[in-house]
Amino acid sequence: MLTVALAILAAPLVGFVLQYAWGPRLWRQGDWLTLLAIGVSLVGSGVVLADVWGGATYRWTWEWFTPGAVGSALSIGIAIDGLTAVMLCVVSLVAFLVHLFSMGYMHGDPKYPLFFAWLQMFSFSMLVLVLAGNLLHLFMGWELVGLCSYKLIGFWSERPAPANAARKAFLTTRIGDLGMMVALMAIYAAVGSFEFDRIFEAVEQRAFDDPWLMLAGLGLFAAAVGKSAQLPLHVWLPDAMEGPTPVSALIHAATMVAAGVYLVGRMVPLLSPEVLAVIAVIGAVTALMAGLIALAQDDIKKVLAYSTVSQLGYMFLGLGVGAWHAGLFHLTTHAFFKALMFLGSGSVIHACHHEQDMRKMGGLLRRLPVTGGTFAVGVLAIAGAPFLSGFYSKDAILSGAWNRFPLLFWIGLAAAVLTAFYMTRLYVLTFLGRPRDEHVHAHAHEGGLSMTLPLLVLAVLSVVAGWPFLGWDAALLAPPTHLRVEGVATVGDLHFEHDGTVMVLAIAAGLVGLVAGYAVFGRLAHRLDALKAPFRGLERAFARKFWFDELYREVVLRPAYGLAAWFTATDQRGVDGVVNAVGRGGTRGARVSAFVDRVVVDGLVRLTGAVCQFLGAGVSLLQSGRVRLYLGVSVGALAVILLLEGLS
Amino acid sequence: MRLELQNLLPEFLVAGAGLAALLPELLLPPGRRAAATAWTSFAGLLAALLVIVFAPPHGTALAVGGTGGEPHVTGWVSDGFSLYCRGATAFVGLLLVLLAMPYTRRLDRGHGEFYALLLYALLGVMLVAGVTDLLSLFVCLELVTIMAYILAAYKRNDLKSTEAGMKYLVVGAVSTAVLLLGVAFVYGATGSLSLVALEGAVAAGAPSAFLVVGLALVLIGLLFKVGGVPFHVWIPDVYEGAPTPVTGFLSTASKAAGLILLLRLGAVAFAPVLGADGLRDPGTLSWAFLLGVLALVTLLFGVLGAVPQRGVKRMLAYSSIGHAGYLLMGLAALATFAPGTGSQEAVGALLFYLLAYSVTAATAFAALVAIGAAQRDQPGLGVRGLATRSPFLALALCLALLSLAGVPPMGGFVAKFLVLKAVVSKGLWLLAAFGAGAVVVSLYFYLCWVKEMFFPGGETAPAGVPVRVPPLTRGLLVLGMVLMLGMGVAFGPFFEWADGAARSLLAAR
Repeated sequence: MLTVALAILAAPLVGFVLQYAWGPRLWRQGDWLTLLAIGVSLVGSGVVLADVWGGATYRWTWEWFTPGAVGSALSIGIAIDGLTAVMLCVVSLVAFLVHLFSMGYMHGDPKYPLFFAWLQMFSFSMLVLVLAGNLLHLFMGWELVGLCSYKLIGFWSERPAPANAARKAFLTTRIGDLGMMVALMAIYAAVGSFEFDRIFEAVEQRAFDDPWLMLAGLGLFAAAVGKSAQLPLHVWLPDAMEGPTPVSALIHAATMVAAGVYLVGRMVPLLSPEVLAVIAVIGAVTALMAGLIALAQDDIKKVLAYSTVSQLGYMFLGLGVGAWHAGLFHLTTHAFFKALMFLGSGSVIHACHHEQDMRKMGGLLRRLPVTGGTFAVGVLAIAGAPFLSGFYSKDAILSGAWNRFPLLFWIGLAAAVLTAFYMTRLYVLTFLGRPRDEHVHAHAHEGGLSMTLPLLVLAVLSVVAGWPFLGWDAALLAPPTHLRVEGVATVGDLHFEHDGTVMVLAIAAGLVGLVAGYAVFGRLAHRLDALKAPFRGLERAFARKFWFDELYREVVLRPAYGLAAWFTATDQRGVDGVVNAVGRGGTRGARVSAFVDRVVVDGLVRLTGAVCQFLGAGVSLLQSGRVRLYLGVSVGALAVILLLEGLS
Repeated sequence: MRLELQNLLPEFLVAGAGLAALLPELLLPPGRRAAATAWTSFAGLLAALLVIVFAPPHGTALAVGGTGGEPHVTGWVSDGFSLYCRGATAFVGLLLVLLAMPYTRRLDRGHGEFYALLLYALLGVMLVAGVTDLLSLFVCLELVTIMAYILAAYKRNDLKSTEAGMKYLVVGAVSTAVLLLGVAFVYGATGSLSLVALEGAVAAGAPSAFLVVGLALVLIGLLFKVGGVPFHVWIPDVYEGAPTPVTGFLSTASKAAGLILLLRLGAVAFAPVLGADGLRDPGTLSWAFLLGVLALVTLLFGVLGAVPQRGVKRMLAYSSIGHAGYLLMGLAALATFAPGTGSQEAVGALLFYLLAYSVTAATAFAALVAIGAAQRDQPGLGVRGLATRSPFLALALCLALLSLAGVPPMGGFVAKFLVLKAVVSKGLWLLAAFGAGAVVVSLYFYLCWVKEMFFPGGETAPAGVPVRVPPLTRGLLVLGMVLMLGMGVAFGPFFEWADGAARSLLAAR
């Protein structure tokens, strides 16, 4: 099993190195190599999945080093359990399909081989994170994921927008990572180890009386908020749409944002009931707000981006209300249908010559039958249409909320209606109706097999991944054994107690959203402006994303710049003042200062130089190249030493 | 007299390969000689290394006299210490054979001799690791040195190379004379050449001035080989003049031979202070003081001398003197009495240092050889602006320089750290402070070269013709980089290996 785990890690790493170093010189610029490497990881993940089906777990630890005399040893470790296996499969499968898709999508890009190299590294980083057996090891993967997202979002760095978006993503998630570091320090201070088991044992013994553990929980959640783009650190994700679309798919489905959810899911025993409540509230509010913002976006990728933020809010809601299993279940199903829709949008954008504005699309279903058809599956899945994967996972989360915080249930339900509504809007604007831009429409055509095949695979998975009789979630997502803390103990098997009311409400919410969306944007499209008139103000708020960017600009950036300007001004005044004083001191003062400068300062400088020269001269004097001198020096020294030794 | 030659199997393999390397010269057409001899040598060293790693022999190889089972005099022993040193030598030898290939390919004659000489020099270093009496010490060391004289002057038509060989020969002859004089004194004082007898005489306390002078002479003779100031005088000229692969040999395996003997001898000569309950020997100037002062002078000289140098090879020559300063620092720590396990720590640190430094230097010289090979086609090519001409070579050389300087993720850092730790644990704070200070100065001149490679500035760098790096060299450099990083990050196994060797050395007294 260890061999398999190491192979999963090694393949993409080797792929990265080879591709980075020799990619441009290989056949097809090396894309097949990276596909092969991630394929190895995929097969390995499948083997792992089959092996742990039913609850087997593995862990290997290698001691790394011991810091100082007091600390306990730090280690590198691999741990495999059901959750790991699920994440492995999701990550490697989505990464594999994204590699495949990119072969068509990125075709002809001048930096084509480099793109695949970084895709490999991104996949590798996420696999490191998922396989990590302790928090420090996980942190390495975490930071690698951050680095790779920076490289890939800013892949077209010659344009200003992607470069800025990459910087924004990196800096915003950095704020969250600060929490991670605080958490690491707190945990090491409290427990003295980063091993998951040791941390959870400590929690069991001390039951949150330890303020360090409380701090650690909050810090970890802050890190997850940054990585998974939750309020208030969600601002980077929509901007990250500047990256190539396959990267967006990878970030949104399997790697970057999933890391935050995975972290919270993995560390849930460490989180006290209060922290969990905070998580649930932030998740629910994020789900609702992001849904509202998605409603007013015209860029097809921005809609999907906010939809991701909203769905991630769902996952945190699930984790927060104690429906651990439901949150991670939704992470998996969401990975499939969101990857499907992102790759679908990539296919649309590819077909429309990199046009992303939905107002210029329309009627594309006839031109892009495969993309349109599979996209419809994605929309239905995310809207929670019965018997599709999204329905089961979303229903599980809502059931959890219903049992614990009814208010959050209603918020979640509202978000569900919104989800169905804006997704229908997206679909209708893009694929149905009459073409609004003949030029775009006329040239649209389906990409090659490398682009349609991933869509078909993901469409199938989006349908079947949630079917209860497959039983994978029950077999693999067993709640953590340490999850016995009060307030969290009610978790685990909510999935199997579908509350009838909740189910009916959830189905109704989805249907209302779908029907309303079709009615408003399909049937009544000609009267849209009249319909929207009363909501002008609201729409403005949505379209401007609730002024979050503006808020940060005013509250964070402007004071920071102001402070910087103030410092500059003070500095200039101070320096100018000194200069003026010297000037006003008159010629005599200037002369004195010049004299001092010449004699003292220059003198010191010259002295230093002279000492160096002298030493250098001494060295070169000895190294004159004359063997006689050499031997004279050596033998002289020899004689001195012998005299001292012999006589003393 | 009892011979157990199976314990010398690795050495026989190397010696056999040395002979075999001469055959292609006779049998093959000129075009194919270089590769054939190189691979023959490679195979011999590899076989020796495999034997050492997988079937390490233990026991004496040469025993003279004695009654019953216990030999009176042993000439040569294969213990943990010698196995570590022989393994490291064989490994570094492999690197040297590989790095010499681009150089020998361009020779028009004498491929076989080159590798045969190199192999016999390496054989000498391997033999040196196991000596237990002063006579075999002398013989084995001379095997190394005489081969090195010839190698240094290998470019017979080149004035600098010939001069280097000549100077090396003259200075080397003096050092040999000093060493031999010391051996004679020691024999006169103890009546035996065996290190065991020597230890008995030293440990008995209050040794005669005769013995002390003899030991001092032997130590100084070895200091010539290591390059400690003021016995370093030959180093800058010889390093600069010798062919680059030979400089690589001189700064790695040849230097190692001196240090290995210093350790072997130190474990005997410093016997009174080595244990946890040692006694200060009141009769003589303390070895620790002498070695400490020499270490300090060597360190300062090496580091300061490197600053104004304008050529990479000459800079590396001074840098190797600086590194000898660190090695002497570790020896000074060994010669100091302190309760605890500091002695073993010091020996282990020095052995680790030796390997880390050798790998690093071999990487640096491999890069220089590759540049030198390209220089034939493109005259005027130095390391200036190398990053634009060959980013790969620039990266390798940069990492090697950083490791030499002792920057954290590299093996060189761990090595320096371990030595300084051992020095501190023996209570030599002043020495350790100087050692740490010297790192800062050395960082300055190493980084100047890094800047030279990556940001040449000023007048434009030589035209940006890409340097072609042969795949073999490429692989060698990758291996070197991996090892340097590996010894910096996952230093555990390396250190444990060195520590085990140190334990064996100190237990074998």
